[in-house]
Amino acid sequence: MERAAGFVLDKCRQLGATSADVTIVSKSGIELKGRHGKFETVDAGLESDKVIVRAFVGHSSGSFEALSLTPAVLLDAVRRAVNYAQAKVRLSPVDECDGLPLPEQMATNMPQAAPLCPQLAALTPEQMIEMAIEAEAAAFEDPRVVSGEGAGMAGCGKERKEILYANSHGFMGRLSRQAMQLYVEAIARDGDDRQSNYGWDTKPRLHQLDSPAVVGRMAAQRATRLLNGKKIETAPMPVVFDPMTATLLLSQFIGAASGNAIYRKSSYLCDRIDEQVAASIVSITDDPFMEDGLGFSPFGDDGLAIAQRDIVVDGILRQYVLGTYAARKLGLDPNGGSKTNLFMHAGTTPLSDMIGSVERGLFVVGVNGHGPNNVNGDYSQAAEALLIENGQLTDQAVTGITIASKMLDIFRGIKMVGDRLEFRPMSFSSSTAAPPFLVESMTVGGK
Amino acid sequence: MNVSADARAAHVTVYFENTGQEFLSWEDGKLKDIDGSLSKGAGVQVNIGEMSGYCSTTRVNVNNLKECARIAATGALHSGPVPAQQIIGAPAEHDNLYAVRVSPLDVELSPRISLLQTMEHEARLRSDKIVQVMASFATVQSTVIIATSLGQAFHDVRPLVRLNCQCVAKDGDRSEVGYSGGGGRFEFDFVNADVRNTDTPFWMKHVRDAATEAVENLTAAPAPAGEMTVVLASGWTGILLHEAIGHGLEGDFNQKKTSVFSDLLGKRVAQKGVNVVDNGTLRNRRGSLTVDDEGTPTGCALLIEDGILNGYMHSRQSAHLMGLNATGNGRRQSFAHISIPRMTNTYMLAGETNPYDIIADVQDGLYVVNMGGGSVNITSGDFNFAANSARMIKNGRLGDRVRGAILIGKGSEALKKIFAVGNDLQLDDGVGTCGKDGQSVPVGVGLPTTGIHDLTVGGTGG
Repeated sequence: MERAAGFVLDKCRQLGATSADVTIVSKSGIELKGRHGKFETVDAGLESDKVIVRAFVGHSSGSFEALSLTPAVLLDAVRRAVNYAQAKVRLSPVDECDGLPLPEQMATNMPQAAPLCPQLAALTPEQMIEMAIEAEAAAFEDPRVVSGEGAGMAGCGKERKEILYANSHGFMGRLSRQAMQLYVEAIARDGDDRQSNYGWDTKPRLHQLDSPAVVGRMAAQRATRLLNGKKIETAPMPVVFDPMTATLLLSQFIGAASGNAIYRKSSYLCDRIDEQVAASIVSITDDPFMEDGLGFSPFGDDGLAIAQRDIVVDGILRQYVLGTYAARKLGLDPNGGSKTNLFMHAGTTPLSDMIGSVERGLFVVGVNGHGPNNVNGDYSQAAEALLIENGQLTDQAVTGITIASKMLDIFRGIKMVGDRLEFRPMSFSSSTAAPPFLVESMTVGGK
Repeated sequence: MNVSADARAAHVTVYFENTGQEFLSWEDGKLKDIDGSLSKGAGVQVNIGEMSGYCSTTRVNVNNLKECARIAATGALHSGPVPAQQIIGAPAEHDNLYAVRVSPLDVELSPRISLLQTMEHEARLRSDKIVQVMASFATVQSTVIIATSLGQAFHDVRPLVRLNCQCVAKDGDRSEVGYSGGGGRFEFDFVNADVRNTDTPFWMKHVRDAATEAVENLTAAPAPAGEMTVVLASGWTGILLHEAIGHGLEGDFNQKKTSVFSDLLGKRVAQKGVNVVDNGTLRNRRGSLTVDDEGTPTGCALLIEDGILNGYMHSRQSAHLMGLNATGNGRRQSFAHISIPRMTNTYMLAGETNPYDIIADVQDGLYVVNMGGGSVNITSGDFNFAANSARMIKNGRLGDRVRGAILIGKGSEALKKIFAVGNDLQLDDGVGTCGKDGQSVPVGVGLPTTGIHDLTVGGTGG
């Protein structure tokens, strides 16, 4: 990989680029799925390669991606990237914001990631399918979960990635990532009503992964509790978001805090630095060096220096998530670019106390849809919930409803934040977590 | 093939792909992105009874393909001998649906870049409230070779182009966004084609639509919440069909009986007068394919006929397991993905009602002009989608604009609440991308103006 990167940077210079960078990714992965206690599907990729060459002629860049590291392919990618950059010089006004970071903005003293988990690497496909089937069996322990015809499925996957980034400032950074995932889709039935839902866990180390029994029971619980849902009346009411839906809200929030959305004037968080954008009990941090975080990153986008970023402190928006280009467009300093391991800090309220404080409201356990609008800040989503009455979580499911508000009203209206924070990513490439929290009031759309 | 055959495979597909792509984007008076890519790779798919396997590689050589075949045939370890996979019927082979004289990748950069520049200029002319414009042009040409254990080989060259415009409008503290775009399996010249005899070139229509949506939403009130009658305008609103019933009619979910539509063939699932097809054979359409990614010619599957469920959409595997005809719906995102049943162009056939009469019959309701994205839970049938542009209907007339509405319901129930189907079927302009099992593929949708009672609308307006 290093040789390929050096070759690319040399060729870029020889062909007329004034600066350049290169990203090389090699990855392999396998996922196995089973149903009814039997193997059903394997979907795998042998070790595969990707190279992305970005060439600059002054402040004009072009980029080209290819899926091979042979010299002929690398040379072709360099030629095309340089051609694109030269075409940009000819065909467009100069964009002064385009370019590599300054040399002094590059990462130095990069922390070492912990070594990859050898037990995970050694896991065989046979062992993986056994884990999936064991997890499925745990879901079947609940008699309402369909185990014969019409059953869901279970899967186990793992992925390994080697990433190298180098640029013509002489920067070179490397990173290895490995993780595995175990999941069950349980289908619960009661009469004509059927509900499917997932249990899952994704971790970089085998011993950290929840056991198949835990994942299977999680799927069964999440599916069965939504059976026999009813619609409720349209009304404003308090809403408690469970950790999964709270995490989705946090992901949507951070999208609006991205430098790209800000410089494009496409975010309700524009011009709100140092403003109260959330309740004072809310703090949000991105930590690239979090131990065993799936987003562990010793360096930021374009090799930028990166460190822990406190995005929201006691409800005040302190910084955007800024890469090189967005920072230049906004006249600010970059802070490393893309989110890495993002979390809302745990609060002080146990979940039971949070629910206990609600006379009538919803414990939301699922949201669906493309409802959140980061430009105007409107939020409207289909929701699945359990009804809270007189401070008690009932087993009455509420389905076929929507919940709506404005993103700023949701975050400013957070009255309590749960005391437990847990990372449970749904994919290999995400690492975001929030504790459950209580929002004072949202519009519930039902009957 | 030999490695897989040793493993008693019932059906083997080897898939080779060579895809070139180019992406240009323009914002703030400058070219922002000029990116290209070349993806070469191959994979082997093995079906053994209910089991299937796929393995891919970017390092394409005989040894790696043998290794792929061995991994894809994992199912053989779990199975006794199985007979060769039988398919009772499939659509007839047909001509190439998207032959182009000049590959869109071979068009000079300068006309494409000047088009983007003109788009920004035109968008800003629409209103001084427009503060940001992003115009982009994406070009793909994919060449695939598909070989099967039946001794068949297919070669398909698939162009795909797409133009996009996004406008942000601002008035005081308030910002709104509008999107529009389209494309298909065309040559570059499609951008200048006249849209439905309106003397408006294709690119101009989308600039206008994006700018209008952003500016008009600045004065839109929050949408109400609760159940109401909804009238969907024709065209891209067909995403409702895609989410509400399309996914539920994909063969894999029905073979596994996890869909809300499982076991309903021959039963009434919609009002009389509702006819829905999935048609992969439309010329130059975004969702069309000459052959699917397993080598089955595409067809036009009649999914719902006069309200009765008539058929599903199949991959080879799901057709074989259900003992039904293959429909040419086995698709994959790329050589790195296993094929699964997917939609192509899914739409409702025109009815007989004048669209104006549909609106005139509604006392109190919502008229949805344009939609954003949506999703569905196959098992419960719960779907949702966002209305990007909508107006209230009062006493049979269009009233105020509203924003932020999402529409939800159960597919099986919504189909039975359709009270009117317009005579104005319109296909979308070629903008849809469908996600399933982590794979994205281009699709088309279409709908005539359609009235539906009692959909739940979620808005912030209470």
